[in-house]
Amino acid sequence: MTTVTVLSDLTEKDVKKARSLPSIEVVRRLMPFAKSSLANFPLAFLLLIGLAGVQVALPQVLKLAIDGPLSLGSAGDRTESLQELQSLSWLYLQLLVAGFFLNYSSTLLLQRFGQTLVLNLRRQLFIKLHRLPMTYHDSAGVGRTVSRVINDTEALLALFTSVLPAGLGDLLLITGTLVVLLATDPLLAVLLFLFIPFMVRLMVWFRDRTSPLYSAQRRLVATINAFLSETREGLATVKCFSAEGFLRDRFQSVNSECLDNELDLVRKMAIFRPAFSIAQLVATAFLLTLGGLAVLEQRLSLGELVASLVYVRLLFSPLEELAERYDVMIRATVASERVLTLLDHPEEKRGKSLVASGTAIEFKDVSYFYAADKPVLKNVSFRIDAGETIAFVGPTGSGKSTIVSLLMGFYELDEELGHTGQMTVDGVDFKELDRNAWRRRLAFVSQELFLFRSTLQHNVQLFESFDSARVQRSLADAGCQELLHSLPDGAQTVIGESGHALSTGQRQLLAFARALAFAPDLLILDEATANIDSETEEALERVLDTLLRGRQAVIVAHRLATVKRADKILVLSNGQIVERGNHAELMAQKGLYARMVHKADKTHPKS
Amino acid sequence: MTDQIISARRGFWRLVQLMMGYGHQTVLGLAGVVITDLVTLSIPWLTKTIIDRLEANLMTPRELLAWAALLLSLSLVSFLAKRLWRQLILGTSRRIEANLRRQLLEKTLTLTPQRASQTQAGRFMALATNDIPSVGEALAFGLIAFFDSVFITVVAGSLMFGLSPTLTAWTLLPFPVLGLLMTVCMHLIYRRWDDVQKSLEKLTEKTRESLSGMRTLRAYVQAEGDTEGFQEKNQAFLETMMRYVRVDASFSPVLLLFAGSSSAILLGVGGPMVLDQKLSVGSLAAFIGYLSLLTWPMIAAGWMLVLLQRGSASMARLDAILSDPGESVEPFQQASEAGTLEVKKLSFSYPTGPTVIENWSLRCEPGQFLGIVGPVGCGKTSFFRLLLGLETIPRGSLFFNGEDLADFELGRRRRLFSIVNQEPFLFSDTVENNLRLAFPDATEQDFERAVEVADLTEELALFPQGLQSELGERGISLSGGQRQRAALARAWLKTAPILLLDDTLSAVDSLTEQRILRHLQEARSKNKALIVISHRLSALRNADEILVVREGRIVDRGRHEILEAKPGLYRDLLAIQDDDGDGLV
Repeated sequence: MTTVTVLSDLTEKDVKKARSLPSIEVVRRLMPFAKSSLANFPLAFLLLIGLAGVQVALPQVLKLAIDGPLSLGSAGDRTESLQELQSLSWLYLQLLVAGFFLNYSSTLLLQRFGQTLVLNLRRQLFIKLHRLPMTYHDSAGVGRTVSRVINDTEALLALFTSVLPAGLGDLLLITGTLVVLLATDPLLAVLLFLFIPFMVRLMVWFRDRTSPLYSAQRRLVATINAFLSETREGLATVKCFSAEGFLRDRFQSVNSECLDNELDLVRKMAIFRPAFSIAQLVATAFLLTLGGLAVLEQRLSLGELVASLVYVRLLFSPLEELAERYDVMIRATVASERVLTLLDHPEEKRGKSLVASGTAIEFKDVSYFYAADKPVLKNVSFRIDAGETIAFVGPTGSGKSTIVSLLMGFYELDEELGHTGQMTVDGVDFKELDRNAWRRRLAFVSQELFLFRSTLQHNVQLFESFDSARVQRSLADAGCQELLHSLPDGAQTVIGESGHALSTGQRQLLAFARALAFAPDLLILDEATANIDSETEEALERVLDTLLRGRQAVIVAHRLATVKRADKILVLSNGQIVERGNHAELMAQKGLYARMVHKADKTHPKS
Repeated sequence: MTDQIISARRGFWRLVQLMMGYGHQTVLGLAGVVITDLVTLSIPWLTKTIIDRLEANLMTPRELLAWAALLLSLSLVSFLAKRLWRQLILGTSRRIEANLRRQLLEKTLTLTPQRASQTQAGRFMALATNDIPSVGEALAFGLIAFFDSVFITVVAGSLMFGLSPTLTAWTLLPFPVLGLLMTVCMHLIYRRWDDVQKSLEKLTEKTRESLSGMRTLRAYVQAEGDTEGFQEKNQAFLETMMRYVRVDASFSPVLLLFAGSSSAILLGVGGPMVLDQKLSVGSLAAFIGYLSLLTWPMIAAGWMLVLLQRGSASMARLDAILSDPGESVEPFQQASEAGTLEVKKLSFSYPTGPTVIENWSLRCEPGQFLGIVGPVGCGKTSFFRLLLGLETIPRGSLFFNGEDLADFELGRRRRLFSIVNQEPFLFSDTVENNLRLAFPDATEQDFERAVEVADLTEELALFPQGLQSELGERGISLSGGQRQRAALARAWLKTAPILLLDDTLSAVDSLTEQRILRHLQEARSKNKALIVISHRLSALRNADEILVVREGRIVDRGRHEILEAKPGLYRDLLAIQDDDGDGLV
């Protein structure tokens, strides 16, 4: 059975690339991933050699029987002949059983080898995902990266489980057959082997004619599927515009194009497949005629003729799969290349320096951008001393979240890209900092809490094994008691997608519970209080009291009440800090901040 | 479970029906199969004759050449017959698949949005990507395999029987066992393959989840724990895969062993018969040939059963959608009527939710501009869905020119409104086709005008191929504001008496929004009405009436000047919005 995986379309470019790729190099780099099963590979090859031997030997037993005890000329002792026949059929059966074991065990060995290789490769890739810079993930997108880890590894497996071993097996079989045939009748052997280049030519010829049809096919099927799923998604729109007829006509034109292409393919294959199988018939006809003549001239025994008929089949069966194998190989090579490129991608920088305590964070003249002509931060300088709470305010796109991403080490200042300035923690350059040790001291709460499809407890403690008291306390401190009581299985209830649905406010409080459970030295809130209704608001302010007490914190905020708590407020506009000071100072300045507060006051007079 | 079996059986009959629809092709195709098989079956017979004559020294080179000529002409016949059946049978199955795809789309178009959303997106995709092809495969190969294997078994069996009944009985001994083994094997293979797919889905889902939550996982330094979680599923996948491989890998070795063992029997039993002159050496060779022909039906039996089973189940799943009654669909037509929309004491709630709209009453005359404001989730969008008949409510609350909207044919009802949503849906197609959707007969001028009204003319000129630019994955991607304006252009093309804008211009700046709205009103003929939902009050300044909605109820109404003057939600909202309408803090 063939492995059904979603493979991206093979283009001419892929084929060229795969052809130019040193396959040996790919194999050499991937092989070590098989680790403990590495020995399976040479072992399987030995078994395959044995298997080819058995396959070539089987017709020889027939030949021995026909030319020996069964030949009219022999007319020997009947009992002797019977005995000989018996031992020959016994030998035949033994060879079969040996073939069975060789075949089965070599496949198992290879599969175990290949699957172990994929297992370890996937693990390595997954670890790599955690080490790649966030900017990689931002641009690559989830879907594409998933297919690197899942589908490409599946595709390259074929290189080790089918392409290489089958190639070897076929080669051995063809050579073995050639040797035996040459030994029996050189002329016949040469004639039969003339078929091989002819068959290969035929295959290449057809491949060149059908492969554009196949890629058109994949494209059209993808279009049709996208059309169907979009129709379902946009059904309300379709109905609002009574566009059913319009879409039906559009679909029908793609659908007929697809059908025409499919029928063209069917027509071409209806020539190719039969042509291939009559080639085998023609070869048999040749063999019978020439072989028959040779028998008449006593150059060939009858047994040898019968055996040759079997060899014809042995010779043609590998050929039939050649075209398919070629495609599989190209796909596998392209996939391997993609996987190796991912493995070679530069990783997030990981410094070694540890910062002990009393963290003073400083930004000196930091300029940062994603695209060179659109600066996000321009000469931003500030300092956050230990225990201090600092708030960033400013309009959307003013660079607040970028500062947070830099602090978290999600983005890095890269001089090669032209970013300038320096970030330090206790005087140590951020680049030298052990990234993970740094992050362990922080807790990060973002606007959108990411929920894992798992229990509430897991969503609080993630993969740490906190005791349940600690989790319960964090939940209580974050004002999640009500939520906890409403869940059927308490903290063990599965939440998130397809689990128990949470409201925006509940999600937000849960994010705080998570932060509390990790007991951080430094708290980073990125617009964490944006999506909250008035009921949750009060709860939230209480939670913030607990969270911020005695902690250093960086807050990007929407809400005035939250901002007011800060020791220092930095007002950002277009990537620059335009005002700084505490609430009272900024109010006195009557600048942007004061204007914003004034408006907010009109809305919420009490705060 | 029984239901499944019943529906699968019904699915099987549907398959047969489908094939009967192409009776001529099917019968002719099967004739092709018979001819192909006959040629294939004749080869061992010819081999036998040639070998027997060779052995008896009766053969002359001349005769041998004649035999060769016969073989070659048979090859030609086989080629032609094979071509015939492939083209007819496979072609027919492709036509049926295309036909099913068309039916699926047409049915989808008539489903109510509720019914469509009951079928998960993934399941729906699977109908097209798995089920239709598996019906095709069942028709093309399941049917052929069935016919072919029965035919070959019967004919090869009889020919062998004709040569030697005893030897036939002996050599066929392993075959029933083999057939049984293959069938069991095939079922195991498919079952375990499903497990493999499920396990792979879990692994994929885990990877997807980790990638989506990458920021959180990094912030909390959870790479190690997360990798362990991944490795668990990774390991589980390996084990499921190996379970599958153990069966799958045994398939062809078992086949070779059993098929081969009948050759061993042939030697052991047939050999002595040759010695006793009860059988010729040629017949022995013919047996070898027939036995190898018989292995195919053994594989085919299991394969065919699985194909037919899957095809029938797929057909049953397809029928579940195809048999849905759906809504009536009328051909597109531009509206010709104008009139007054009246809402009387409208209340509405979703089946499993709280009341979204409570006791709304309003009147919208031709030429009027009505505004609706209020916080997220206050029922504004549901109101539009009700008007368009995307949700159903009892009669008695929505009227057009005094006539209850519930009595309108759906097509006529939808002709009354044109709508732009906040997050409009655009198809991955050209810009033009996305607009044409609203008015298939639109002219060049119509497009120009629509694009102009939506303030898209300049940007469109920058697109590589203008109106012909592809949107979506393989084409250009539009910004939120561009999408909204493209949708506005689309809605403009439909000349409905009432235009509904659902926070349509939230992604463009407020000055542009006001300009567009002004143009829109000027450009529309005087007797057409406009209802606008907006979170920006500046957009509604010129409205004839503004409804202020909170928690499903209309809490205030009036012109801007009136609402501005009195305390309440409207004034509060006004206060948060600065001059350009965007909140700063």
